[in-house]
Amino acid sequence: MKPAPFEYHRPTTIAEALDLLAGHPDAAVMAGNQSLGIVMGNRLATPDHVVDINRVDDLAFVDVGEDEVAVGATARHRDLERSSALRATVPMLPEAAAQIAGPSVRSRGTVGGSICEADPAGNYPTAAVALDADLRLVSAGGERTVAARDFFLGFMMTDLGEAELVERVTVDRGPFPAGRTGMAFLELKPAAQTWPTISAAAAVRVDDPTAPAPVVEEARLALANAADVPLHVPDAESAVVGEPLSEAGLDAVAAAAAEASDPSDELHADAEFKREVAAEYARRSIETAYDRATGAE
Amino acid sequence: MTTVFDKDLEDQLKDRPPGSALVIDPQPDHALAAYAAAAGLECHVFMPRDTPRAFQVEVRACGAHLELVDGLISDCGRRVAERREAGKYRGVRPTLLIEPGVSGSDWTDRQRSDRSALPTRSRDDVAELPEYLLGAVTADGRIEAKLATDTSGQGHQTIVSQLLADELGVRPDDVEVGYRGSAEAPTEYGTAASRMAVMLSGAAVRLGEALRENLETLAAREWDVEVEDVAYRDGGVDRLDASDRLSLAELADLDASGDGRPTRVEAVYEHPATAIEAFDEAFRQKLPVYPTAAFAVDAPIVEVDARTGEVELLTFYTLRDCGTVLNPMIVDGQTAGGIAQGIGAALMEEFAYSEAGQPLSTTLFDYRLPSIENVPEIEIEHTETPSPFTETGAKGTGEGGMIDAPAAIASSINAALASTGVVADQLPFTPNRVRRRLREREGDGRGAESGTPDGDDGRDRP
Repeated sequence: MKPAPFEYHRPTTIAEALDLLAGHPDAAVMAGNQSLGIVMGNRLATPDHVVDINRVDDLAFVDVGEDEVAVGATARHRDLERSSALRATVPMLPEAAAQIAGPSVRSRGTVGGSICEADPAGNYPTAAVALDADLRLVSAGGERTVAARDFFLGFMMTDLGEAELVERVTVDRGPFPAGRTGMAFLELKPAAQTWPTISAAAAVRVDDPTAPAPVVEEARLALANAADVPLHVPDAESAVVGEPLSEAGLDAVAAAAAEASDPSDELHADAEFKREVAAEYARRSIETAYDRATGAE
Repeated sequence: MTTVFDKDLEDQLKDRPPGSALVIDPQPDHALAAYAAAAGLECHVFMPRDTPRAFQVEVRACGAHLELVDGLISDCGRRVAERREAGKYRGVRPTLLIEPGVSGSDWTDRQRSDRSALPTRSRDDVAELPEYLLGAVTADGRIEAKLATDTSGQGHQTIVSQLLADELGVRPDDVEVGYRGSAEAPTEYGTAASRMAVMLSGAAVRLGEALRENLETLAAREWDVEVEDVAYRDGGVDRLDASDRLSLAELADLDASGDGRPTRVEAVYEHPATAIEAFDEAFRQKLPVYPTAAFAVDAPIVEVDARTGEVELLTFYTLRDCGTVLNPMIVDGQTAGGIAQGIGAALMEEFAYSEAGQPLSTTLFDYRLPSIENVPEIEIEHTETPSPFTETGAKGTGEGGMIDAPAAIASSINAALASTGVVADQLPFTPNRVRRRLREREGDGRGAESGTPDGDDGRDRP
């Protein structure tokens, strides 16, 4: 299949990219081109203009700062997967990146592309919601910051304006001090090259990992592909906070995840199955994150 | 069968459940594994890590799954309980394969023929397509061979260069193997019916024999002696009195001034079934004719996660016999590739259709192929029982693995889930299906530890 004719632009600066987007309201932004080319090839998308941002060097970074971690829109999955600085601070991101498809896809695909595609089964949207990340959106007219938890509106629909570009994703390090924080990104994915059936992103902070029974101070949980948006599950979080992790707490996590899930049937997984495994993966991800926070794993 | 054995026989006697088999053996773990293998039962042995290594090896050799536990024998018992508690069901059940090979063109023809005429058919009318192989000695003393049949990457050229090197006492890289053009090549059956190793190796041996004989004749004529006074050896012909030797290049040169026939040979290897009397009856009916039967036994160890429906293959043990192993790397490659495809069939790959008949698996996102992440360590062992009917003793084995692995995996899943009553009754046995079957069992009150499969649920949508 061949795409419909389009005009191709390759800016080298963010300002140039934003001017192009302002001048061509229907333009499609091309980042790692792991999805756009397919939908254009099938003529499910027929933009008249494509703005390729691969040569905008200022978008390709992973920056681990004192207070926050910032990842640029065109950082590749590979960059996250291999970043030891990220592994030391926000290990959920490298763990999520490492499970995306195979090496060739990971070498091309980008964080910004995944966030903007907003597939509810995608890894970064779910990780960003779990981590309560912020997205910096830039346009020729200015910039604004939107919480990931507010950005995803519906199935593959976001708050991104026509002339806007996701410039970076930032994660506040405050809630995740090294040494007493554990994170996990667990996928049920039968084949490497496909989307996962269900993923669970969890983070747990404990008061004192050396205590006989460390108490959970904060927990985070989000699920992928369990609803039409990446699903934040606050009821699961509050179920485990304030006490050491227990079987009863994990049961409550699973129940809250099942309750919050609203999955749809798909070819290899009916809704009932997805709800079951959403609950089980929620439980396992919180348990794994706790074990990592307390040094048990 | 999941159990923990103390080394102390008295303890066993005391704790023996009513009606259970008593294993009297100085090494009960080993005996248990052996009996379980003979009975086709799954067997897990949990041993303290410091158990002597000889015991560990014996248990593994019997096909049991061995897990080493830190601590004492009491810790082993706890470990078994923990696995089940976590919803992890391990199992293995050996399955057998017989792989008929080297079916022929006559069978295809008979399917289209008048059945009533077959019983009176003459054996001379049997028309199996042979395998042809063209060979020549080149001016620089190398061997050039040309195949008449196409390849799909199974190593046909490798087999021919290897066998001709053996036959002619030269190095494999002195044998150049290519293909005849489709216009000049004789009619061939094609790469099918697991026939190429048998047919091509037979043709390569025939070609080697013919070339040796021709070259001896050519040399004898040159020296004006009897053929009995010369012998082909390692890339040349010697006079037996050791007074002279002609190399392949010199023989090619001698032949160049003649008609070129001695150094250019077309070998023909007839289909083995044509010479086997036992097939007379089959040839007069519409029955298949398979001159070879490779066989195998598989024991994939699976672990089913009852809570998520995921099936993990821990190790895939397979013992195979394809007669004479011509090239171990090719045979192992066929085995591993076939098993990988079988894993896809057992657990992942599915052409699904909507109720209106629309195909649903239209992309490789939905038609799930296995990758290396889905393929476990495959432990391949071979025995060699040469075929009495083929030139080299080889048997067709190109379809092994993908034939047997799906049934082998399903059988091991059934062993793992035996206590739940769930059987893998539809492939691929996807996580969705595993969970649905388990839910159905729980729902009708026949949950874990009760009931037998009744096959009530039949086909369902994916």
